[in-house]
Amino acid sequence: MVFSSIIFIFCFLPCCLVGYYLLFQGDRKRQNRFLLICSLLFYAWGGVRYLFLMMLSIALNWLFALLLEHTGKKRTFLVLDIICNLSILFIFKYLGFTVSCVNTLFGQSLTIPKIALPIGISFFTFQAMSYVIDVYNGKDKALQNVLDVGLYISLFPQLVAGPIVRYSDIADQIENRKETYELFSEGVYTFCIGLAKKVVIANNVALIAEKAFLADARSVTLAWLGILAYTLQIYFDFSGYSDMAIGLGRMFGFQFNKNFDYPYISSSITEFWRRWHISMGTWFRDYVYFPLGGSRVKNRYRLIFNLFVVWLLTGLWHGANWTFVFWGLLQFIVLVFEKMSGINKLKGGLLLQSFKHIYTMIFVMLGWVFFKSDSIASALQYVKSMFGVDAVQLEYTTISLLRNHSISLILGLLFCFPVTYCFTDRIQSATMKTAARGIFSLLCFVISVIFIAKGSYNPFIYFNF
Amino acid sequence: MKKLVSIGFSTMLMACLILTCAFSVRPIGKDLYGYYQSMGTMGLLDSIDSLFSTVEKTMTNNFILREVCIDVYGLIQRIEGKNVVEDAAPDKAVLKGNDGKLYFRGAVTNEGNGDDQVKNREIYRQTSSSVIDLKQYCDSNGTELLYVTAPHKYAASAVTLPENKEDYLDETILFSQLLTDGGVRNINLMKELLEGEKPYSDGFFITDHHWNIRTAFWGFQRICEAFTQDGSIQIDERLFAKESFTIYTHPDVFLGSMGVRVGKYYTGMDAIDVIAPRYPTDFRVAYHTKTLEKNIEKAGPFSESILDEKISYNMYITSDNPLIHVENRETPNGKRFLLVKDSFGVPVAAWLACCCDELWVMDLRYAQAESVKEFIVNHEIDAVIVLYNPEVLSSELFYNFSEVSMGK
Repeated sequence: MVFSSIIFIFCFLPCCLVGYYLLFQGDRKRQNRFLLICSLLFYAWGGVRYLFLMMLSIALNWLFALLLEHTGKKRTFLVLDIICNLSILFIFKYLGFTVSCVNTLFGQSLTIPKIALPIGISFFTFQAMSYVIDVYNGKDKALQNVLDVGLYISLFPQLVAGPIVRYSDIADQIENRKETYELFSEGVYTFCIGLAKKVVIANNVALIAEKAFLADARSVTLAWLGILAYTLQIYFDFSGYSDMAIGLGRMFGFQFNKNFDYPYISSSITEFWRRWHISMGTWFRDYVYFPLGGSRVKNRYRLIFNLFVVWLLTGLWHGANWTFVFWGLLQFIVLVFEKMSGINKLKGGLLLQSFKHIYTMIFVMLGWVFFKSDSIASALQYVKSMFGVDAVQLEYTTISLLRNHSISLILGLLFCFPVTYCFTDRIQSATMKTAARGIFSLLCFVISVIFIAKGSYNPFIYFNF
Repeated sequence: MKKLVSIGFSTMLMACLILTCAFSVRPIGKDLYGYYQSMGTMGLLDSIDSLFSTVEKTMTNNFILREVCIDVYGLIQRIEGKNVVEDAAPDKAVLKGNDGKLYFRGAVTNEGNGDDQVKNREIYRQTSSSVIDLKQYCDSNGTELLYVTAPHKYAASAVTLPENKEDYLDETILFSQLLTDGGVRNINLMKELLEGEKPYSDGFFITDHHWNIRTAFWGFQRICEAFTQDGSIQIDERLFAKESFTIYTHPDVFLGSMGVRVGKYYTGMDAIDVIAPRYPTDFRVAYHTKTLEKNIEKAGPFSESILDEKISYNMYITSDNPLIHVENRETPNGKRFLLVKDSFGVPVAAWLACCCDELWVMDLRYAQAESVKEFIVNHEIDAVIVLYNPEVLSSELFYNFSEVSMGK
């Protein structure tokens, strides 16, 4: 079940709200059990078989957290937990890729297992690991009841596409959250805006990206238009989904941290990664980079190694394909360059800032070419087209795409920047500000529902994650 | 304000859910009953997955505001100046031609390559040989056979998009030639319409993929001419006279297969012509359901027995059924016709009923009790008319005249 569907918005969500606020109002325990049932149903909707995998993950992590807290073998159980989680992830996500790599490297002809990827496996596995690691580090106590662990791992707003909610951020909210009209209405605003980002902008610019990437031959303009469209698609799709998750969480009294902070205004790749998929970045920082020593290491080679490990894993986390590995390593190279040269810390006038912004966006877009492509070869072919190598004259396609999707492109380019603040900051009255946000959100919701009910192109790009 | 937003939002969602369920009890019940019937053949986990997908599909298709949303969506696309309206199914994306008419993308793009065309041509040889075989069978039983190719709505110069067009003209000419070589009398209405004086696209609805009613009526008259030219079948002369028919138009009443995907504000709605005999008529019509039981019977003049109250392309002999039997009780000439058709034959069937004593209309997309050949013998058919649009030329289902059709 995806958030941007009739079944979710007009069936699942109202039933959840009615159950939560009308049937079990004032009884936190029952509310939590009800949310757990809803979350498991939400997950089962995408394939009931994978529900057993999730329940296994819940049971394992609940058990290991209790064992490491109540026995003297904390480290042993932590290692066992990590091995179990990574094994599940490996089998379902990386086994086929590994076998195909072995076949290629060693000339073998092993049968490549065809295992369907459970939706959101990377998200819920990382959340589960964060729970046990936080208990190990003594940040929080282990939950006694497996159903509470189940709620934390499977909570439906952030289950499929994040943000990756850290246990330490949410531990207290499982029992002691407070639902208020203010928080609920904030949730409604955030959900509606996220929905519009996904349905009105991302889904429409996705059509340009699909056309450009699937073309047998493309012109320079089509190649650039295609990657610009994909740059917008992935941002609005992913941040839209995160906004919807944050908004839904607020409706049920949960407060998740923001996951995107206008990443395309960054003037360095370092800054970009402080603004893009923040929950994943901080997860890798706190659970991989810092344990390796982070930047407080004796020599720069160790620092480079630490960064290499983090970005190799970040690439692989996004999908089992060399394109993701290459994409991760591209980020690593540029980040090392920035750290060594100090270019990201350079301060200067408008010209320098503009140059830094353009340089950042070019690397971001080049990275997305690999992220989007099926293979390194097709990505390289695409990059060649962008720079006029082997490009063809097919301007009509570009004109036709621009004619049909110009509004979505303009909206996308506009809302990459914090333009809404320009309007809301000018409104002095708090009531007027609330009213303006309300009207804007309602407009976003109505237009989104119109687009969803029509049943237009609605890709789901998180299958790899 | 915040309380208002919170309660208002929740109430709006709940209201839509309740109204959707309340106003769609029948379709939702039908879908769930269909699921219940198919449940026995599945394992437990598969049946749960199937239940989820049935519920999702049913709720989406019956969403209370769906039609309004599609209309407004079309209006937004029109304001944006779009000539392509995307759809969840990519080949069902709708293109607006320079002539203002709508086309499915799948019908104007050439998905295949050279190899596919060669393969298709091989299939045409097979399907045409089925028709030739039927002709020989008809000859041995003293039955006339006429093959009719209905025109196909294609973009030609109407859509200036980079995609290659798939017009089927070459295929229909090849098919006609193969039939002629095999001794089958045939009419290529697509070719004739292209060679006519009027622009080709005028022969079709704006929002639907079918030929419009006037073009279909022209097609019917061409069928009558073909039979009378060699005197094989005597056709009532009144059917050739314009004054024998009353023609009136229902303006802006119909949204066709493309129109329902873009709403009524994208290009507007189609008009539907009603062409009915002016002279006295009396028919008895029996519709056979998918289980081949007679479930509806109508009797009376053309306007009551043949025409449906709901104004649409399918208002003639109520849409596609596996088998329809029409008995002409006013002007008997002792002839029994069998029309084997796809959806292009729906309006033609209505007028064809005026030409004979009994008309059987068979649609091989649905399961049948008898093969076409068995039917010809068992029902003592005098003339068989096979009427298909060129899109089905390579589909063997439509050309299996020797075996009982199991349907799609």
